Amino acid sequence: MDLFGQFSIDNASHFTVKLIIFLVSIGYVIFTLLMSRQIGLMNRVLNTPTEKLFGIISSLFILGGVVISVLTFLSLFG
Amino acid sequence: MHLPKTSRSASGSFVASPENVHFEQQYENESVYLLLRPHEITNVPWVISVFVLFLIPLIGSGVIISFFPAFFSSVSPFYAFVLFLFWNLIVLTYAFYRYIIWFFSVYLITNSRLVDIDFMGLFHKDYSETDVANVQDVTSKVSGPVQVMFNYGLVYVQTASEMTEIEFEDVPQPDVVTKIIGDLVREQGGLLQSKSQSGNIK
Repeated sequence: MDLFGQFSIDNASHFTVKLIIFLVSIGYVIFTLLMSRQIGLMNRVLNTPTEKLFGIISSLFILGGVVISVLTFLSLFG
Repeated sequence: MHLPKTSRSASGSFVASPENVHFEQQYENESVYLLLRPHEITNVPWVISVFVLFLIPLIGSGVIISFFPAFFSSVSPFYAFVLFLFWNLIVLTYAFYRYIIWFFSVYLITNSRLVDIDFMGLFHKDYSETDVANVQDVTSKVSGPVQVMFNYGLVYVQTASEMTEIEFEDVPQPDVVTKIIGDLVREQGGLLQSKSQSGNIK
């Protein structure tokens, strides 16, 4: 690898990078699911009118994570 | 009970008689007089870190282009775009997470109790409370230029109960909070000494 200009990623590295990103995106989806559940519990401890708003926002994060996971999965094996 | 006039929306850091706010251990005839959170200014460090995190892909791609001009030709533009979206999604999630922790970590002053609900991260909760009748001493402390400038600080309540102290950290208008607790205790015939200190103002 020539540091000044000739850097490129071969196919094996491509696959490894994509696999890592796919695994990270799965981890992200799990985290957002846990976060959503925990926000529900927090709302039980302190009930405020923002419950629905927080629910919608955390659902959007879960949806975003799922979309990213699907895209990285398709680029890996599609 | 005389309370200062504030917005009654539950999202502030100093809310008198908040609307539609209830907590898990609330009694039927108990009403929340004051809802407190750490002052909004205490959120500035993580807000700055979020902005820096948003800038990292832009700065990073500039650095990569200048040192490895051929790098992006080996990565599909679509994949780079997905990565960029994913990064921003993670940063937004981090910002939301920090906001949620701030939002749900509250101090409540009700007609009969002082309640401290602390969330340290998503998966750790601390709950402490004391009866107003048990309050023995209330001290407020404002120290440092930022706290003096934005008028927030510590309210320290010493009690005669099993849990000997309760602390309201970084709450706005600590002198007002001290007075409200003092008035509440006197209304209920409790024994109280009330003090106020300021680090920079004499």
